[in-house]
Amino acid sequence: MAWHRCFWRGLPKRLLATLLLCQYAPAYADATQISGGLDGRALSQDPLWSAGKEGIRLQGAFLNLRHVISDDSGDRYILVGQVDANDNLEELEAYQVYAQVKGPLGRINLRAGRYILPFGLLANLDTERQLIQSLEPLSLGIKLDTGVQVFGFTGPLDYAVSISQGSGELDDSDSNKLLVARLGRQGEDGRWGLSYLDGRVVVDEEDFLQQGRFDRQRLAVDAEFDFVPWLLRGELITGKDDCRSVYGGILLADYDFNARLSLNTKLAWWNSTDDAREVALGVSYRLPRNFILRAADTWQRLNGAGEHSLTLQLYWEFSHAL
Amino acid sequence: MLCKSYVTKFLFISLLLLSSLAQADVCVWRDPERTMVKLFPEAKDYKTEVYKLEPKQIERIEALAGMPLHSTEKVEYNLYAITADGRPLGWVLALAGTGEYGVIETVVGLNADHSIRGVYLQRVRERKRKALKSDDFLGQFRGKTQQDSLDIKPVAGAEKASTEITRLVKKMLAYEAVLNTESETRSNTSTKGE
Repeated sequence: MAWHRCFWRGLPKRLLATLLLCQYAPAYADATQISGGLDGRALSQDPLWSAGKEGIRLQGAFLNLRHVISDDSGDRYILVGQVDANDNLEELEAYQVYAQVKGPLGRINLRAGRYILPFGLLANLDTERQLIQSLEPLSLGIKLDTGVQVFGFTGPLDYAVSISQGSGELDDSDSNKLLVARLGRQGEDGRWGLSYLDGRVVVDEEDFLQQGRFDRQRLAVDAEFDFVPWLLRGELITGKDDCRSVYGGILLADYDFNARLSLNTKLAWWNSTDDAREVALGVSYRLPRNFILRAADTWQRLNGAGEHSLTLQLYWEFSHAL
Repeated sequence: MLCKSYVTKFLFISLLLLSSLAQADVCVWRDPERTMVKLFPEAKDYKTEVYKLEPKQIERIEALAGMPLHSTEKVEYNLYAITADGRPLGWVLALAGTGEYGVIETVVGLNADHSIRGVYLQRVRERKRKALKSDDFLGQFRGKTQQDSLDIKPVAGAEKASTEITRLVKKMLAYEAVLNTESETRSNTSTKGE
């Protein structure tokens, strides 16, 4: 794919420049954190959508560098770079790669680069390395994008406004613009938000339900409630694709049995020119030394045709200060 | 591509090598501002101070806390210095432990005189969560210093979690006592040197 070529041409230089900046930035104090993970999976059957492949494979490996630069008054600049190698290390991609300027106490921040769009549950939940995924492969056709974002909080409210390319690529190929905005409220036992997306979305990755170019508008309400031992997350979304109405929703419910074992469930539906339904039931078990064992059984229906898949995952992650 | 093959192998091997170094807690407190505001409503800014722990510091922290540190707690520790208009207000510290139903992320706010301003549970999934987060329980820590004994009355039915939270607070007071004292000593020495 074109963006992979761009990535290879540009990213090593960008990473090198970032590391050099980190090394010689005229900072009062700084801190670098490296984190990473390995995601091994065994899949019994190809799902209808998503890039699933039958058999045992290394779904992904990732390495994340996070550097914080402080001046005399406080933490001011954050640099983040993450590289993911997916599908038995065959595909390499830049995940989140951005620079952030942090205002006093993080009440206002400016972020530029490739980041997760602040829309719906995505604003606080990244299911990239989990077996049970959130709704964006069906509903948005985009998850990460390159652009500029202003975000922060005031009292119990948080806000984010992003202008990005709409293509998910690192480089701006056609000066396309995508607006995403979210206003949320956070309480002790939950949070909710209202999100809006407007612009042209260019989808060419097969991870998403539909590929192509779409004039897309979306309005979503998302919520998360912590009813111990249940953790409930949901999102209702409606909008238009090239003037055609679309709507859908997702409910994720997790139940903690104890400190190690939890049950994970999902119910999702999406109505557009393609009608999709998905039900998933999974378990997650925390092993020693930051290993997690997950299993998920997923039933999917696309335009009336059903599919079923069983996935087993061994996931390991770490974090370390440099 | 040859280049791609080398980089993916490098990434994979790096991850395997790093696995032997990976002692630090995976849970990184990346957006601590909201909790800081709860503990220090008048705060205007904060600065992260990262300490890589040396064997002597670990010994002193363990001695002050009266318990051994977990292997993941012996690598590094962060203090968050809280300020308002350049004036130091105190520090915020965080540490994670394990309850019966998962991780308990505990955050402590310390005044400039090193006494506890407040304790906040950032994440707790215990069945008695409301009682654990209540001022009846967490208020018992207020005003205590590292020199005080922490005789905290546990929440009925959540004794294990109450004990774990008390242990975490003790450890954080010990971290702060050792790391901040050294930092102040270093700062004074440097000032004298100038």
